[in-house]
Amino acid sequence: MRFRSTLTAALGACLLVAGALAAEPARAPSIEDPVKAAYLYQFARFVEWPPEGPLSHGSLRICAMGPDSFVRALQQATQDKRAAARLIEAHAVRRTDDLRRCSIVFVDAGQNGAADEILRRLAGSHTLVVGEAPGFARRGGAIGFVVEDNRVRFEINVQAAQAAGLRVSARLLKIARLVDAATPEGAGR
Amino acid sequence: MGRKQAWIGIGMGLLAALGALSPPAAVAQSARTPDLSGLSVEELADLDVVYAASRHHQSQREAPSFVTVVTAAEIRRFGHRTLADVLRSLPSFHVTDDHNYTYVGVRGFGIPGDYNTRILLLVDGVRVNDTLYDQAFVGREFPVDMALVDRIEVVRGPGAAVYGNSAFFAVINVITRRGHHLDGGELAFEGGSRTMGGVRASYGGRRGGLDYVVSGSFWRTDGEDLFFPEFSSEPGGGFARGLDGERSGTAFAALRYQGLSLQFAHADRAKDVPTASYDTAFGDPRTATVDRSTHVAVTYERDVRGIATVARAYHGRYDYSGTYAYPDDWLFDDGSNARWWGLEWQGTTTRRGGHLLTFGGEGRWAARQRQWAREPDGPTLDVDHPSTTWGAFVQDDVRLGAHLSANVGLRYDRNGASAGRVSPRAGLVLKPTDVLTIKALYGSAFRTPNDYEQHYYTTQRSGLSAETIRTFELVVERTFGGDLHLTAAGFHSDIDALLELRTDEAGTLSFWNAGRTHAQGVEVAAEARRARELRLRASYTYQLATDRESGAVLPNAPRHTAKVTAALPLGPRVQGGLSLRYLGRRKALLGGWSDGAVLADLTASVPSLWQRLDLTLAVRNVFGTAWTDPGSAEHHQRLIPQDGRQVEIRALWRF
Repeated sequence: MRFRSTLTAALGACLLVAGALAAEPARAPSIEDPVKAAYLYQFARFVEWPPEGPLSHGSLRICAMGPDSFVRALQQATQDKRAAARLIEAHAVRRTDDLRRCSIVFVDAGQNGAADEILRRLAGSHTLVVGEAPGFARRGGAIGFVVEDNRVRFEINVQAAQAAGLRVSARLLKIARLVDAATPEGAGR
Repeated sequence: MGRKQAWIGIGMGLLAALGALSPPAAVAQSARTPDLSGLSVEELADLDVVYAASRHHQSQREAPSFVTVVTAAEIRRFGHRTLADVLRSLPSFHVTDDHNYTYVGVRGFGIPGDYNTRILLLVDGVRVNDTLYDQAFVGREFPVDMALVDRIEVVRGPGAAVYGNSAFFAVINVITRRGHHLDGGELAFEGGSRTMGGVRASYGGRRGGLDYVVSGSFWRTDGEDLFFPEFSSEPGGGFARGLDGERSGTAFAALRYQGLSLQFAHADRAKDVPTASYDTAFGDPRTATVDRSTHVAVTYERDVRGIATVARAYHGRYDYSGTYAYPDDWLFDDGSNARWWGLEWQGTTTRRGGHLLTFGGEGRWAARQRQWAREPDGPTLDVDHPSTTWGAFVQDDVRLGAHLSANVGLRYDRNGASAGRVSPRAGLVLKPTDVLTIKALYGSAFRTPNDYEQHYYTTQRSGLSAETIRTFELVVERTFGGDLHLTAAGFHSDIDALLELRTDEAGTLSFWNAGRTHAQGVEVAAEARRARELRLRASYTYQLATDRESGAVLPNAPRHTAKVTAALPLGPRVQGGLSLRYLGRRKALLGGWSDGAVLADLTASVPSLWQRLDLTLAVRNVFGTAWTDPGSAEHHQRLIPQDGRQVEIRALWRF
């Protein structure tokens, strides 16, 4: 009986707190964030944009569609950093219209519903689209993060990267699991 | 506190203060989001992150300890049912089972009858050792089902410099799965030998920024039929049939919204006791124990001016009751009720000069510490000794160059009326190359006699003092091509005033402070991964703990232990998990030795049938090896026989 009253009280408190806070969607800060942010910096170094394209000059913009905590981690990881002499800038982006000038776009798992829309919008551009939703690379993103065995790894969809005119260095390909649209869930090298 | 310890303490305090006084780093960065941009892409891919070693996230390489992380994938692969199963598979640990509780032995120690009081057990960072016995539950009494575990961090060595009491031999942090990991429901059924059966229902997800998990489970078994030669002249000829039953239930809920989280965990377990412990009547089915614990915690994490702060309030309750049936229908009952409340706060911040500073304080109020006992004629014991504990710590992780970093920590604790305790630690982590790490570590810890030790036995003499440990350790880690990881560790510990349960000449039980004890050993562990499918862990431990005066080897600790676990494909859709372990002979409390034993477990699983169904078949003790664990002071058995072959089937349905 006592157990039941504790349970009721605990659940009641949870619901109250949840209700009081149910406002702007966000995710709890996670230790995966700084790892993914550091990866994005490495992707900027080990991916080549087509030299004649609009995204290969000036500073290299990495745009994050995600919560503030991730944007902070990204800003921290890219502060004063350069990739092939280009200064890296980290930006938070809220609307898909603002993605055109971004060399790299990171799509948070919370944007899952909008991911297909984002991929469609950026089709034909030279943007490197990186996501973290399950199966993101299979669905046409160039790079998708996966968490396995407590480690953050990534999948590369080479066709998607080539379609965007991007050259991914062998160093990334060696570590990545390569997938394409036909790769079934849970498989891949 | 010895004078030497005081000087070490002062020295470390000064070092830590140095870190505190240096100016803040230019970028006000949250320590919860460490900057990893200095790591290569290969290092990122192999980054194992650990929290429990230093109370902040850091890479396993940087952690000032020999740490093992066990993931959910491994727990599933090897069909681990309890924390005890997980620890059995790891170097430095061995688990003893007396068919009532499970006891964890660490690095040369396996003190018979120790209710895991020298291991600090955390669930998502919340202390779950109770305040009355300091007990860490690793069997079915543990409130989190293994299916809800995301990973388990096992940190060897004294951790009192950041955690205080109980972090004596090791700190174990169980991190639970987030709702979005579940992303829907799970319904699991299991059944197997000895009429074992269980059911679990879990549901989790993320909605509008709220991450939620709820879960409940029930489990039961008839247990083993056992033979104890010590009781062969009793009715039944020493056979204990149908006396090893166990029933348990758990409830778990976690809610997270941005920096706020709420956690609820509950477990209820009843165990029949077949061993006729404490001189009870052999073969009486009424002798049984019930353990029930509940933990509620609210945690709030946020950055305040560049300091990552964590504030937490928690409440725990633990109820034990035991029925002990003696000859001539004489029934003895005892029990305890503990209620405690705790508050803790900590901050982590980076300062200029490569300092990462962690500091905090906590207070715990054991509002109720009731112990009672009742004979048929009336109560024989009813005591309640509420107490308060508080502590404060500061720790500095400082980078001393491109290849060298240091960790220094200091904590002060005070428990009730007893004298304050200072626990220092210091570590140097050298990374001469990308693949080699050398750690030189010093740590200390204490454990104050708990309420049970001080007040349960009516013949107990007062004046028990705290036990202390000092450990020196050298750890070398080397990675080969990212696929093979080798760790070698050597340790030496000095333990003073170890608390142990003894039977005196008059035959009465009470706790004593033993003299000085030494423990030393060497551990070698290898971990190999090939693609995702093949994974191998192998380890060997040599350990020896002796009483300094008599030179006698401590009971219930194997000198040699070897373990191999392999995860490998058994077919195109079938995953296999093979576990082999060798436990060397162990000294029994009543003289003689238990035989060394080789034990094998085999697990085969078919994941994602029709995308929704996982099937697992597990065989424990495949060869049906007969093996024993040494008994404790409350047993007449010199050696207690362990479980034979068991077959289990598990089905998990996702919806």
